[in-house]
Amino acid sequence: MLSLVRVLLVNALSLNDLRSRRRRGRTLLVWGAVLLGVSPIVIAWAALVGVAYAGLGASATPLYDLALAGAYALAQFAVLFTAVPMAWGQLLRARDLGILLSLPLRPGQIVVAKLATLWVFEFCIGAALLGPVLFHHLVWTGGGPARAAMALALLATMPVLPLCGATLAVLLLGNVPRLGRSGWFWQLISLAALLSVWLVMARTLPEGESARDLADLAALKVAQARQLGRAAPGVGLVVRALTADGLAALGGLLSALAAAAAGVGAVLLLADRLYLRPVLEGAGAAARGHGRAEAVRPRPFLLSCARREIAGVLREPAVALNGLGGYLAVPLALAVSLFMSPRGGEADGGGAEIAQVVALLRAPEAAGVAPLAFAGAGLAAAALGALSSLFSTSFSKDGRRLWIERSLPVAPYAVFLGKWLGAMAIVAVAHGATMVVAAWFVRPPLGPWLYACVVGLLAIGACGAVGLSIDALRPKLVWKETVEAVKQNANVPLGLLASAALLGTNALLLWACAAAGLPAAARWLAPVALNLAMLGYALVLGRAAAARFGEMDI
Amino acid sequence: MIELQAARKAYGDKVAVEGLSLAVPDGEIFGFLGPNGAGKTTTIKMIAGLLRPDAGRVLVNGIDVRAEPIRAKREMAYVPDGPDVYEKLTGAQFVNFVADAYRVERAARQARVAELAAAFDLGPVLGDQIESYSHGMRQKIVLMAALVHRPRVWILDEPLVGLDPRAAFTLKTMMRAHADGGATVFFSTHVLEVAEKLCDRVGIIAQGRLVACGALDELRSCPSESLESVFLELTAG
Ligand SMILES: Nc1ncnc2c1ncn2[C@@H]1O[C@H](COP(=O)(O)OP(=O)(O)OP(=O)(O)O)[C@@H](O)[C@H]1O
Ligand SMILES: [Mg+2]
Repeated sequence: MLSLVRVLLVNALSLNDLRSRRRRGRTLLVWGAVLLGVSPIVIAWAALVGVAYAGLGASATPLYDLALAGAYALAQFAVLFTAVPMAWGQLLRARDLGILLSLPLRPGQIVVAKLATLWVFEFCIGAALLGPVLFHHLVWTGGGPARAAMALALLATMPVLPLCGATLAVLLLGNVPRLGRSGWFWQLISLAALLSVWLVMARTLPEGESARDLADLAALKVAQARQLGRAAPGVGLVVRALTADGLAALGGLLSALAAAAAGVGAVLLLADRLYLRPVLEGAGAAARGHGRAEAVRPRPFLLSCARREIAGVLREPAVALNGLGGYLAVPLALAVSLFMSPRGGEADGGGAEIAQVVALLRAPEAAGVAPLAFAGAGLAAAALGALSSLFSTSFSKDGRRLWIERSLPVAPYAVFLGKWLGAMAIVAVAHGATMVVAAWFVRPPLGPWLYACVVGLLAIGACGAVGLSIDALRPKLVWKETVEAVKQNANVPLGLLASAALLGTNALLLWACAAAGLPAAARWLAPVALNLAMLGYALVLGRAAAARFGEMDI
Repeated sequence: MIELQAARKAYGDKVAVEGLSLAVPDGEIFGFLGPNGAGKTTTIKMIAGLLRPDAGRVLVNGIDVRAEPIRAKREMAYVPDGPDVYEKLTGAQFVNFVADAYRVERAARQARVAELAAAFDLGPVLGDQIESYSHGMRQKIVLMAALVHRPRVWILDEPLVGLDPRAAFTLKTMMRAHADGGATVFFSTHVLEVAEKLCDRVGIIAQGRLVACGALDELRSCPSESLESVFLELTAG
């Protein structure tokens, strides 16, 4: 059991690299860099906590319990957020179940070992966040050794509940793919659903105790603490354990520990059903879609090739998430910022300000600025798609299957165009959705909005064709898992550079337009013309690259 | 009809195939034999247009593969030695994709897919993603895709590896029927019994050079000699 945890940890941290002399230097360098990057933040945080406690101690009614509750809830949220991707990696991506299940281990042991491995990471995060707070709390409230021991126990168990929550969420989501073939789509939907439920909860909670009824600041804070208590389970118990005396404190501690144990129990109970049994029953791949065979329907090869590209991306979650990461990150960041904003309405207020700017742009005096502003906005949004790795890894992704395209009686350029079309279709949908969401916030006039969409898509098309050309010239064909073709591919940074250059050219053009004082019509046309020309040129380049690709020995 | 004229291919310093000349006329099953690393796959890839010969020419039905690759590829079916296919497509989608490249008409495609699916027993899984196929099923779907456009020239690299006995029998029958219909089958194999029973002529390649080529009877020094001993003799050292 312990040895299993050790092996999992060694594997997760690549500790064996330390043993091989060749890799040791590099590994130590990476660790050093990580430590160097993180330690100032940790030190600053500890210092901040110290200052805050000094401030608290000086005030008339020190709200130690409130500070503790806040810090505890914060740490739990941090654990929850970091634990989701980690649990996904440890439980679903690590393909070690086949080996583990064949060992004489009870299923519970496997799950507990994985949880323990995750706990080690999360404890580090928790200790960095909560540790200083607990320390100062003890110092300022004058706790003895008994209370210090309790604090340590609570620090150690803090990550357990959010960790269990994250694990359960991951296991539940991991089981969703069996609903359909494009499992990742369902995962995203459920993630979005969870997120919106959470947002709605977060926004409606304060209204329960209407801020106007709260007489003073302290009362408001207490209300917020209560709200925190509802959002982060166990906060109340912990506060009781560390602020109350005698039996009450002990009760708080024991209840907190019991809650953690209950969380682990819940995971153990469900893990067998959700995690191990599906593997034992052979449902792991989720690929056995019992769909009817596709109807026989001839298509032009170009479309057929684009369709294949789309299916290849959408059915490979890692590839899709990698390629569309930009489009997912922005709404996510937006949602998080909505939640984090202290006043619920602030984000809308920001939207209103943008709307005012847009209204100004509509005014006749702004005729000269409007085209540049809209083109700029469209191009800024396009950066999300232009920087996508879908294009610059398309040939690489074929890997050992490249023989198919090469042995078919089609021109290499047809393959190139098919891939370009397919990737464009995916990016265009994501881009369109982003533009619609943006329009909902900003409410621009329809015409200029469409204009921004067109300019953006043209730029994405040009950048994509350049990225695809790069990949046609030097595909990375040797890999074991498709993710490698996307993640460890030098063509991605090369494509990024090329796209950045193209977008930079656009920025230069906008600046030149503004500086040269062109008439409005010319300002509307110039960005379109530039991006059309770049797209045309990129496609011509692509033709040459595809020809080289057609000559390549494979 | 396949013709190789003094074909040569080297990977860097390593010469894989040297001065290979060979003609396979219509109506013939040609077996390509040789030890591991002799250059069989390299030769086959040159015929299929996946490798450019460093010197010499490759003609398929009289079309130079290097000069007119697209026209030449229309004539042939290529099955590689390992069934690496798009895992995320369903079997039907993959076959349709290949058929689109060959521009197979709807009616012809329907009939051919039904026929091949029945022959290889793949009908029930055509709607499943290839990811869920076994090794042999993948081999079969590659064969199906390769044959869907009724090519004249079949070029198969160890096509029987991984097939179950029934599928192997089906494929061998199809190869025979295809050659008897006046078309060409070129395949490599390590199974000498298959070569002995199936092939009209065999070629033996060792260290990149053709060391023997002809009908089985021509290769034997006496009628009772087995192909195995011929092979061992020719490829010794
Ligand atoms: N991509 C490559 N790079 C370098 N050398 C190669 C490459 N592919 C093949 N070779 C070399 O070329 C020679 C011929 O290889 P080839 O694959 O044609 O052999 P083969 O006859 O098909 O063997 P097998 O029976 O094992 O399939 C071998 O010596 C091999 O090492
Ligand atoms: Mg071979």
